[in-house]
Amino acid sequence: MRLEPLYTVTFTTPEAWSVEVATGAGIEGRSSCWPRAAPLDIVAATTGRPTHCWSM
Amino acid sequence: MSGADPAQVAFSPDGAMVVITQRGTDSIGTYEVRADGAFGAPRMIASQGPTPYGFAFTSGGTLVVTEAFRAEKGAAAASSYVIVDGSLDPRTGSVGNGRSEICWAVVTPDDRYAFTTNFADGAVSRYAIAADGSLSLEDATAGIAVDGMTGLRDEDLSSDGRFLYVIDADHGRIYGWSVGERARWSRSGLGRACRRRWPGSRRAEAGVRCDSSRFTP
Repeated sequence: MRLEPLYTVTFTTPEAWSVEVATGAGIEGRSSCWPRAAPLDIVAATTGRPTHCWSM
Repeated sequence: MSGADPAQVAFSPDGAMVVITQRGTDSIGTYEVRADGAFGAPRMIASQGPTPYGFAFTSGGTLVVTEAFRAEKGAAAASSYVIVDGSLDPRTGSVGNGRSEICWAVVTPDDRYAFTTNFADGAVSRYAIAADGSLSLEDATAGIAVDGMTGLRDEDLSSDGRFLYVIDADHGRIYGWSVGERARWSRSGLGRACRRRWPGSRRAEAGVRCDSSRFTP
C-alpha cells in the first residue's frame, strides 16, 4: 500500500489559496483573491499548461 | 492531574472507555464510561515509550499510540494496546520508525494499517496492524511532504480510506495523497476529494468553495 501524492493546497489567508498538482505540472487552480504578485498568465506561461481559476 | 500535559482524548469504538494520552507523565489514562454516561475511577498505565501523543483505534478496539520520545531526533515510535477486561494491555512496545517528533495517527477503515505523521521531518509512516493487535513498521516514509521540513500535524482519511490528508499549519498547506493505488489526478478527482473532505460546495469555516463545478476551462 503506497501513498501517491495528489496535490497540495496552499493558503496564504483563509480566502486566498491555490492547488498545485503533485506531479510538478504547476498551479492547477487558485482563488480569485490570490495575491496579484503572481499573475495567472505568468504561472501558465511558466508551466506551459492552462491555468484554471474559480472565484469565491 | 498537574503536569499531565494531555495530547489527545477519545472514546473507544464501543464507547465504554475514554482514553487520554499524557505527555508530561509518560502515561495513558482511561476512564470507564458507565451506562448512565458518568465516568468511573481513572486507571493509569505507563506508556510503552516516552511522550505518548496521538492515537487511533481499530474498529475492534486495538489502540495505536504514537510516542514522540521527547522530540529526540530519529526516535519516533508507536506502540499498540488491546482492551482486556476494561483495561489497556500492551501488545507491541515502541516500534521505531527512524523519523522525528511523531504526532498523530489514523487507522485505515479495514483496520490493517496506521498512518502516523512525523512533525519534524515531513514524513508519513505506515504501520501494519495484525489481527491480534500487534504492530510492525512497514514504511517509515510512505509519504513525504517536503523531506526534512517541519510542519506536518494532524491528519485524516476519507471515509472510504482512499485519500489521506495532512495539515501543515506552519506553512498553511494541506497535502493530499491517494492511498494504495497510483493516483490519476483529474479536476473531477479533486472535486470528489474536496467534497469528501469538505462536504457541500461551501466550506464556510475557511471561506472556501471547493467543488469541481467551480472550475472553468
